[in-house]
Amino acid sequence: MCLFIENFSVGYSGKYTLKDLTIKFSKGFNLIIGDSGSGKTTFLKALCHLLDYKGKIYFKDKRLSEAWVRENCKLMIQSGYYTEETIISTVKKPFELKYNRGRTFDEKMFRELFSLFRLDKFSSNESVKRLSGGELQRIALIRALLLKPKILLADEPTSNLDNKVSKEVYRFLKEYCKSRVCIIVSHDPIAKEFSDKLFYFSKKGFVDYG
Amino acid sequence: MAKPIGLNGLIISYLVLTVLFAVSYMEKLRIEKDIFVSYLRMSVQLFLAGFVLIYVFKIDNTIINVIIFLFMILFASRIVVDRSGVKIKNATLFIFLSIFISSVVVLVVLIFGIVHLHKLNARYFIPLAGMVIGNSMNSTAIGIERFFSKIKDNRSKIEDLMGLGATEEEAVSFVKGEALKAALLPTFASASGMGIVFLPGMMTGQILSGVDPTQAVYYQIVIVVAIGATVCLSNYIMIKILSSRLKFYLTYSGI
Ligand SMILES: Nc1ncnc2c1ncn2[C@@H]1O[C@H](COP(=O)(O)OP(=O)(O)O)[C@@H](O)[C@H]1O
Ligand SMILES: [Mg+2]
Repeated sequence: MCLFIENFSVGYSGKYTLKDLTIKFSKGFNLIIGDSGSGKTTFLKALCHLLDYKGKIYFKDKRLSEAWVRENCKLMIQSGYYTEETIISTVKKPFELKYNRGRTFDEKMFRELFSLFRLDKFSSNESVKRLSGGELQRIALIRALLLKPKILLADEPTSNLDNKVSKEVYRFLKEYCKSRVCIIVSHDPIAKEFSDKLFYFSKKGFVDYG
Repeated sequence: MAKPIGLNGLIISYLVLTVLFAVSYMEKLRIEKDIFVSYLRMSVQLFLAGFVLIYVFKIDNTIINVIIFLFMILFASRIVVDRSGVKIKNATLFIFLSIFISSVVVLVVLIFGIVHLHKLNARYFIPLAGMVIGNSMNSTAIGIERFFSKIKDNRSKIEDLMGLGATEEEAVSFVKGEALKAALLPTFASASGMGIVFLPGMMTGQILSGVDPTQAVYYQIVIVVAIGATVCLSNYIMIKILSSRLKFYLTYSGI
């Protein structure tokens, strides 16, 4: 099970941020690090069809359709999350979407992650307005994880978390990613300890394998 | 009985414009030039329209009438793009389609179902189309501007939803409603003030030129409803088209 990306180019308003990228991600925890502004966020967004790109993407040697990606590839963005009134309605929101109709909300997993990520001081009916940036970030991560996608993308998922919680997050991700392709962008040194493979994005727009 | 308006009347009417110039001058608004250009344009356009209408009514050829109809929509679409300031590819085309589809639907009902014409008589078709298209123009200009400014304000939330599997339509559904409402409200507000706050232009014109007030009222009601329906449909179609191209706008339009 691997994700193969060939001659991938993406950018904004006709200017390429990434050009002719060819890269292969295997099952497991793939960590991307690199210069700020090198296009890591852009890369994840384009993979997940939030942006228009040029190039081919294969999963298990099959060319991916947009519908397949919407259903099976999930992205946790860096900040500015869509929220509803409460924690629980925010976490359940994706299950209302057309491409998630086949999924059921895993109550047990939600409880476990909620306490593993140290959120148990809140009730799940708490208003999201009361959450700090780091707390909301964990909610967003849980929300993505509950979808159990074949491909999970996460953009700096622990940027607002303290080391203790970050460690729990990456320890969990290592297990979680054994059965799927995970691509995580992170500058957190702890992430390196748990990752299976490291990729480096440089400012010049190409990738070094590390 | 009032006399027809003559050249003298027109000159007096233009002299009334000095009120605008005076206010602009005294309050240092510096819009004298804008005032001049606007009213000059209005006059030239209306005179031209008058001349053209004389011939169009005389010839009354269905094909020519349809061509005029298409040109009116084209101009309206260009004005919407200019006025709303949106810089997206094919905007004119999408607005054209939205106004075209909605006004055809409404005008067919209006002309063949209510006024019971057997063909597209220029005397009825052109003014009715003008009213329906003009109102669609005003409302789609608000609708498209609001749609894109809301997307800009909420870009990360929209991306968040798409990242979780939302289709483009699902991802913008929470801003779509606001854009639609903003586009439709002025039309409803003006409908609810009619007859009490003001007598609409067409009805006033008809009554002044001697038409039975009952008929003028019936016509006005039919037209206000037709305008409401076209305004609603054209914005709905426009936002539907724009939503389906969201990814394209996120990548290329600098929003
Ligand atoms: N919406 C946008 N419109 C135009 N340019 C953008 C947009 N988002 C990011 N960029 C540019 O694309 C480049 C890559 O940005 P990004 O992918 O966010 O980098 P990273 O996540 O690696 O820090 C930067 O030069 C940034 O300025
Ligand atoms: Mg980034």
